[in-house]
Amino acid sequence: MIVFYLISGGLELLFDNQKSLRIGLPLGTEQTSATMKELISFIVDAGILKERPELFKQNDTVRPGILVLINEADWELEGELDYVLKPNDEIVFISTLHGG
Amino acid sequence: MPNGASVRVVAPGWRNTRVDAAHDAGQDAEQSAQQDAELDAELDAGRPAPPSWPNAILTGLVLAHAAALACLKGFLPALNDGPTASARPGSLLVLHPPTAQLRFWNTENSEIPAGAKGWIGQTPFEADAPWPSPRRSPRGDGYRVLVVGAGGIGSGCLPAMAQLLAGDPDQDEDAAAVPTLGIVDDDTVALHNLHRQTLHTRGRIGVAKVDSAIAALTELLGPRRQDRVRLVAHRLRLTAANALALFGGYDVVLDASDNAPTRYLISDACVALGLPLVSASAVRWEGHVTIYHGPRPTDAPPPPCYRCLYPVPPPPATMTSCDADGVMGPVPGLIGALAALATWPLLTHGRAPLAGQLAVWDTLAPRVRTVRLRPAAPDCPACAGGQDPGGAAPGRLPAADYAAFCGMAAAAEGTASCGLALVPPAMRVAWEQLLPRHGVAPRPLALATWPAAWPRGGVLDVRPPSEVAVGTLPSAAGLPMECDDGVDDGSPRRAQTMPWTLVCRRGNDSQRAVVALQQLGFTDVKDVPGGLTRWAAVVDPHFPIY
Repeated sequence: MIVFYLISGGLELLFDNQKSLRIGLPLGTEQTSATMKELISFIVDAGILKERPELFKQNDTVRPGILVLINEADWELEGELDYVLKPNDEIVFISTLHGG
Repeated sequence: MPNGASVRVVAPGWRNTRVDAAHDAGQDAEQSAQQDAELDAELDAGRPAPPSWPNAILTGLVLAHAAALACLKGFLPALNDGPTASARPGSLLVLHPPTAQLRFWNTENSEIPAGAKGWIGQTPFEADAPWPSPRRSPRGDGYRVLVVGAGGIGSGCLPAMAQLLAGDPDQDEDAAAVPTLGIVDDDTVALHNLHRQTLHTRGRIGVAKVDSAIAALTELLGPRRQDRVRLVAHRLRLTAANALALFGGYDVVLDASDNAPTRYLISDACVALGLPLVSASAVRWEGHVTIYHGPRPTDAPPPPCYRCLYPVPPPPATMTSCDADGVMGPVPGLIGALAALATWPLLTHGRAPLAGQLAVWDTLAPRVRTVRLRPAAPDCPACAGGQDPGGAAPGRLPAADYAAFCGMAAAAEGTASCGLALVPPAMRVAWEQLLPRHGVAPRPLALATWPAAWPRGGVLDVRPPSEVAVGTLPSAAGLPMECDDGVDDGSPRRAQTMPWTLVCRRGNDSQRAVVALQQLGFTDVKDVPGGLTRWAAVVDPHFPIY
C-alpha cells in the first residue's frame, strides 16, 4: 500500500530534511489494513525518522505540538490513531509554529 | 527589469480583481484604460465565478507576497534593477466591481486621481448588500482591534489594519467613529531582526517597538488620516495578571506574538472574554493563520480554541522561534497581512470564514493548504466545547503561570530568554561567578586578558559549526552537540573528570549537552545560563550575537 507523507513546520529536520515521502507500507494483511497508530510506529521503527525519535513519537502517538492531517483534515475528525489507512492517503505531520 | 514592468494577478474567483504591484508612474491614462479593457475582456471570457473567500485570501497572499518580495529587493540591491521594482507610493491596487459599493483604496486621496480610486463590489455573504463600515461598530463607536506583538507578523498586519480602519476621508460618513488600534510589546527595536520587522528602522534601534510602530503607522497614514485611527501603545509584557483587563477594552485580538506561553495566554484570555482571536505564526519558510474561538459558522460545530487544538504544550525543546530557528524575512509579513485580511469580515460581518480552518503557507511547497480543524473540545478547560461567551469560567483564566504550564522557567531578569529548564540550577554557573574564579573581572574586559587556556578543563562551545563560524570565545573548544564522536574515542580518560563549562547561543542546547556528557561519564560539567548572548550583555558588547 502506498501512502504519501508530508512533513513540515521544522519536523523535516528529523527526517533528513525530506519534506515529502512516498513509501509503500508492509503493514496490515489482506483482511486488515494498517492504522495510524501502526503507521507512526512504523515511521520510527523502520528508520524513516532519522534522529531524536522522542521529538516525534511519545506513548504510541505523536508528541504534543504535532498536528496530524489526513487528506486535508485534522486527524481527530478521522478517528486519530484508529484511522484505517487507504491507498494513496495523504498524511501530513506538521509541527506547531510559535514564532512571530 | 524595464521601466513600466508590472505584476498582474487575476484571481478568477473574485471577479475583476487586479493587482498592479509596480505601476509605472509614467504610464498614461489612455494606456491604463486600454489595459483595463483588455483585462475586462480576459475576465469576461472566463467563467463568472462567484466571489469566494479562499480566492480572496489567495489574492491577499499574492498581493502580500508581491509586497514582501519588493521589500526583499529593497534589502538586496543587486536585485533592484530599477525604481519600478519596488512597491512605492503610487503603486496601484484596483478592484473593479460590477456595482461599486465601498471605496477600497485607502491612501492620501489628494495624491490619487479620482479615476484610479478602487472599489469593491458585493459582499461575499449577501448579494446586493452594501459593505458595512470597516470603522464603525454596531455600538456606534469605532472598532477596537488589539495586536499582540510588534515584530515580524506585527509588521505585516499593523499597516494593513491601520489602512483598513482609517478608511477614506473623502468617502466615509463615519468620521465620528474613530477606531482604536492597540499594540502590545515590551521589546525594543534591534538590528538583528530588521530583515523581517519592516515597521522598524535602523534609526529607531533601541526605541520601544510599540513607539516605533506608532511612528511608522502615523507616517503611513499621513496628515489627513492619522487622526482617523486611535493608535494606542501598550508597552508591557502580557501576563496572566494583566491580560484580561487589557483585552477587555477590545473587540478582536490578533496574536502576532513569538512564544508558546503567550499564545496559550492570549487564547485563554480571549475565550474568557468571548473575543474572537486571529492567530498568526511563522518560522523558517512557513506560516500558519487561523481564527480561534471565532463566531460559529451556521452549519458547523463551534470552532476550537488554541487549547482544543493543542491541549498539551509541546516539549520546550520543540518550541520554535524566528530568532532561534530563523525565518525568511517576507514570511511573517505575508502571514501578518493575511491575518489582517482575515480580520476584516470578522469586523464587518461578525463572520470568520477561517474559523475552524487552518491556512498553512509553505514557501518551498509552495502552496496554501487550508485544512479543516476539529471542533471545540467539550472537555477543554478553557472553552468547554466552545461555550460562548466566556467558556468554562467566564472572566477567569484557567492557569496562573503560563511559563510554568509550558514547562519553562521564567526568564531571569536581564537574561535573554532561555526557556528550557533541564538542568538543576546547582549545575549551572553564571558568567559573573565564573570569570572571577579565573581571575577575570566581568566588565570591562580586554579580550587579551582572557586566559589562553583554562587552568583545568575548559569552555566547550556546543553550537553547530555554522554558528561557531560567526564567532566564539578565544579559548573555547568546539564540540558540536549534534556530534558526539571523538568524546568516547580520542579523549584521554581524565577528560571526563575535568571541569567543563558548556556554552551555546542562549543556554538551551548547553543544558542538553550537560545531560549528554553526563551520560558519557563526565562528572564535572556545568553550563552557562544565557550562553553567549549573556556573554555579550555582561562581558563583551562587541561579541557577534544573532
